[in-house]
Amino acid sequence: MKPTVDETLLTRWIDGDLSEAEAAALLETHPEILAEKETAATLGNLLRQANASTPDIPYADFFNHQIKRRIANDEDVFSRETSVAAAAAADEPMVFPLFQRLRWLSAIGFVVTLGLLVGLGLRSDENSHTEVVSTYSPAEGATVTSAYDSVAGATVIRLDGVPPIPADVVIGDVPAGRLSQLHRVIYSTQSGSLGCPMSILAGEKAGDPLPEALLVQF
Amino acid sequence: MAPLPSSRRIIWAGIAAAIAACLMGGTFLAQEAPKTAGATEQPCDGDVWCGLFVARAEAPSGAPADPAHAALQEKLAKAFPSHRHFQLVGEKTGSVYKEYECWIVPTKQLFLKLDSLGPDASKDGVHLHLQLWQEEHVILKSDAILRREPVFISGPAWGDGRLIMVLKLANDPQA
Repeated sequence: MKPTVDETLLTRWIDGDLSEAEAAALLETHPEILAEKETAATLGNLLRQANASTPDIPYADFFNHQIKRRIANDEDVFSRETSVAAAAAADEPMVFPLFQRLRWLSAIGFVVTLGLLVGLGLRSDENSHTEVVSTYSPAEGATVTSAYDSVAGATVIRLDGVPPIPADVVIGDVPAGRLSQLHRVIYSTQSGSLGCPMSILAGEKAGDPLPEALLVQF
Repeated sequence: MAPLPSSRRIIWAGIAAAIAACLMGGTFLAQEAPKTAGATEQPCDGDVWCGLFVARAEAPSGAPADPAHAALQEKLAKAFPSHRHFQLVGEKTGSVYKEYECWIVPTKQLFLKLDSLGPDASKDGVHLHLQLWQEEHVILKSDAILRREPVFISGPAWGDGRLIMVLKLANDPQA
């Protein structure tokens, strides 16, 4: 509605836009507006004081409504993206249809296969060593023990209590000790040209009256 | 490159494991194949190598080195840590046949008599009845399944050492 001339003048007067002559003329015509101006000024002061301490959100209802609507929109977008991802997974081409349908069974199969491989490896190592089923010694006073030595990688049978073989018995082609310990010394001399002692030994068992052979030891 | 879905990763892992299993299975079969072929070509249950060692705490002066049996001597040193020197004084290779006695004589003083009871059920060894003879006397009797790893028989003492008989399958006597 278009304001009247009086209202326009009244607003300009309250705002201080009228000249002194115009303000005097208006007051002469409408003297009651002085009280109205004081009331408006008082009311404005009170409103400014209240707003300075606790500023309220303008149009609070509208603000809250906008917030709720944006939250609702965000939730819709999130649920839409999730459903799109699920639909994409469902549309994924089935490279191995059986395996993809039996996902957990495939995983279990993998674990079982791995276990079999480990078991086969262990079995292979275990079956490489010689196994002693039983042992016995007919020799009087002899004892037999057997065990697998994993450090050496061999099965060891220990035969204890068997009488030792005399040192003068030649095993293979190797004498057990020095010849002078095995045979009787007939003659011994220090050879200056050789730089070591030289001995002539009787190649027979000790106690025989005549030697079967003569040995020379340097 | 986009990461694979978890289901595909599981599938590829399963395929890789299956391929590995096939390869290993093929290896095991390949290892078994020569034995099977050998069994059909000859009735021999296996070839064995027997060596007699003298074990001493210290090497005698002037003892020659034996690089041919270095691996076996290393095993002996681990099995008999109180001895440091192992000298081979006799060796012999022979074949064992089921229901036939087999004499393996590396030396006249100490030797073995073997009776084959046939291949082991797992086909990776020979079941033997073993006798250790010292000249005219049996000093040890044993039932054993001889496989890839050797058996060491610690026998009587001799001089300042001890006699150790080594018996193993003869695929690689030096090992």
